[in-house]
Amino acid sequence: MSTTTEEVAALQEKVRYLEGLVESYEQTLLDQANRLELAMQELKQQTSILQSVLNSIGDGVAVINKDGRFLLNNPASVRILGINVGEDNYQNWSENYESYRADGQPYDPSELPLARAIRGEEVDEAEEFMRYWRRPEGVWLSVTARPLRDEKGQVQGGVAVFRDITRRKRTERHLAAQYAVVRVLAEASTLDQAAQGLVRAACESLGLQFGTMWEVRQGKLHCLAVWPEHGESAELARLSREVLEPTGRELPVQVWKSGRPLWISDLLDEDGSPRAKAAWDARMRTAFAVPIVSRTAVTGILEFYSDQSRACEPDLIQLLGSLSSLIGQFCERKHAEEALRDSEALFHSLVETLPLNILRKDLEGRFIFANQMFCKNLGKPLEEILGRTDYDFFPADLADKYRADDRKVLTTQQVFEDVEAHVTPAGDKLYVHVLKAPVWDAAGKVIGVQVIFWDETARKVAEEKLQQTLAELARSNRELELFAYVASHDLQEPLRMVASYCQLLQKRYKDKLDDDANEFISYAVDGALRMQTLINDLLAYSRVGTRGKPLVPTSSEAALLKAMNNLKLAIEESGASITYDPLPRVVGDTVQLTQLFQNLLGNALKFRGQDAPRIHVGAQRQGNFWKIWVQDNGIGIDPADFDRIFIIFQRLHPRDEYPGTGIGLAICKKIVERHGGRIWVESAKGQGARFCFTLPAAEGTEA
Amino acid sequence: MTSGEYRVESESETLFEVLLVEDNPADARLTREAFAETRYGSRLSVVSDGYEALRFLRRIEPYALAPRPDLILLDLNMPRLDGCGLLAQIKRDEDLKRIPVIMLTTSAADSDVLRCYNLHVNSYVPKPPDLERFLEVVAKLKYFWFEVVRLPPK
Repeated sequence: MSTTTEEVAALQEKVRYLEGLVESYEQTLLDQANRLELAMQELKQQTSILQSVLNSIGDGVAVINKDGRFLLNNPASVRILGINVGEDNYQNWSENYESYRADGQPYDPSELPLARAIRGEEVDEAEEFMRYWRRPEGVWLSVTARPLRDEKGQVQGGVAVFRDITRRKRTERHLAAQYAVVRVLAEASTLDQAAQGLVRAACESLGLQFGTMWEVRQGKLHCLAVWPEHGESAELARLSREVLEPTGRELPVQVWKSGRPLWISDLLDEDGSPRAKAAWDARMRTAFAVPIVSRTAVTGILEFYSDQSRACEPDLIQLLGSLSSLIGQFCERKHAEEALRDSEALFHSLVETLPLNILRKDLEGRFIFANQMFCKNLGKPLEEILGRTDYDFFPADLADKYRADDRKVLTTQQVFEDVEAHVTPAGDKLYVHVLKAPVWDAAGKVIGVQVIFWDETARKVAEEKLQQTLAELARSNRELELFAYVASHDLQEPLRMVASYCQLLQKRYKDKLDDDANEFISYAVDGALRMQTLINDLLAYSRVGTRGKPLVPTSSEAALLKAMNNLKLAIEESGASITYDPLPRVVGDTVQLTQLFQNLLGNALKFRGQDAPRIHVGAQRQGNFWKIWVQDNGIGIDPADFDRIFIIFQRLHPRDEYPGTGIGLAICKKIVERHGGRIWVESAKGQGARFCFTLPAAEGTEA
Repeated sequence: MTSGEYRVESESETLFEVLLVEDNPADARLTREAFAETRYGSRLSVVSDGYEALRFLRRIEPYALAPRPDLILLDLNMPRLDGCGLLAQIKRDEDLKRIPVIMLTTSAADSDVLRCYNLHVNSYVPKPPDLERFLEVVAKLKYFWFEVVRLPPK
């Protein structure tokens, strides 16, 4: 049979259509397979990227299902939290982790970020402090959490992204602590006042539970502050109030002695001192202390306790070090301020209590300072003085003089001193001693004049009176000497007559008168002659003052030699030996010095003992004077007579034993006193005598 | 003795005329006694002050007949015109200045000595207070001036 062509054709057409259909389906399938393959590859790639991102980022990422089971923890999360997927359940989080809010309050487990996320809430950058076995010092986290929802919007779990912000938080805390300390210091005026606030600020900002501050005073540690004083650490606070001896083993003492910070990680290790025990009982676990150093010396200690067992934290120690150095600087500054205040107070009290008028004027002569004394004397309050000039208070001529003096000081930059003589309206004399000095500013520029003046009238008047008295005394002395001279000179004349005519009687009438008459005449002659000697001596004595020569540098040795030469005969006759030290140059009258030595040597020869006279003349420098002495081995002088012997006409011995009028030592005294020296005797009866006198040294010459 | 009177020591042969100017009679007498002790013939006239002495030297009344002295002895302290005043007058006078003048006085003060020599005194002799020494000095003075010295011719 044969199919119809049309049928075949139609069939063929159908087949072709079907083939085409198949072909297009195949193509579609192929396309789809291709597309799927591509999509899968893309997905795989994306997952891998995501995985590597999760693996590599520093932030922790944790995903939990709604039952609290961890579905995902990226490596950072594992590192931060120390957990593995499937090992932990977020529901019992609180059993393993201590969590605190930023304010230090413990977290309610239901308020933890992921717990809130699976309740459908969103948490943004919540700060959380967390501590667990592997991180006993704790970790600060910043946590952001979001719920995970299915397509119907049902919460299926939660995701948390968190970051370790411990370092940042620590820096923040340290800054906060520094700030708190600086603020306390800024407000305090003494360390005592600041101490409590400092300890408290440090404890609070650093999250420490107990702190103390100590001061080194008189070789011991005195507690300045304890914080807190009450509560669990009350006993520790009480024990801290005691003074610590340098020999103690307490933590502050050890730091004081070593000068270095000390950290005790576990108070159980401590020695068991009462303080350590009280600290343990107050649940303190870690203690550390740093020295407060001021001017290279340990002046105090900061000590803190923490209720956590903490390994030594160098940056905390460093922080405390910087705090203590702030405190040290504070102490130094306060010391300096105190010293300044003290000296301020000292100068203020000096300026206001000294009986001096003190004032300052600027370059234009305007008063810029005046003390109370000046105000009082001017009779004006300070405010009416400041800004005014001398012309406002004094007559023009006086003000002119003051201004001229001020100008002199300003131009010469030298201190100016003057004693001004005034006459008061009542006609009394007034003397004012004035000292003017330039005033410089810190840059060394002259900015005015300081004037100090005081009333010197009383002193000046006394001085004038003294001068007057001295002049009067000198005049009366001169007059007295002149009187003695004139009197004795005039006495000579009549006496010479008496003596001469008695002698003439004796001479001419000796044979014509009887024995009685001759005896009487001889007594009269004797008396008159003695009177003559006395008058001559008196003349010699008064001549010391009236006939002295000017005092000039001269050799005392030359004077001694001259005196020895004058006494040559007497020295030879007595067999005396005279020795002498090198004698100095003195300021004196050679003639009188010769007389001085001659009288003293003469006495030494005259008042000799049994042995031949041995005389020594010595000298010794005494400040501006020379002490010179004449030592003999004669009969000596009873100390009771030491003063008498220098009085004119005083004699210790009967005339027939030792002749003389008793003028020699009086003249010696007068000579020495005229030279500004003094004379005295050192002796014991029968032990020889040493006559000492002082004479002014000729400047710059030694013996 | 009143002023203007004068006495002579010896009326016998007058070899030397001496004028003593001395206000104190006791002193004058003592000097006279001392002059009398020696053997040299001399006549001692005494006046009591410089004023009288000038009148004597210039032969003014009552001294019109007064001799010109060979030697003048002067005391220092006198009323009216004292020793130095008189000395100055004598040494200023062309006629009188060559008569030797001797100060005979108790003062031994340097200032007096100097003053007198400055006025050209011929010698200054302090009077010793002791009589014996005084007699000795007067004797020596007379010996010197009357024996040793050649006096100006009259």
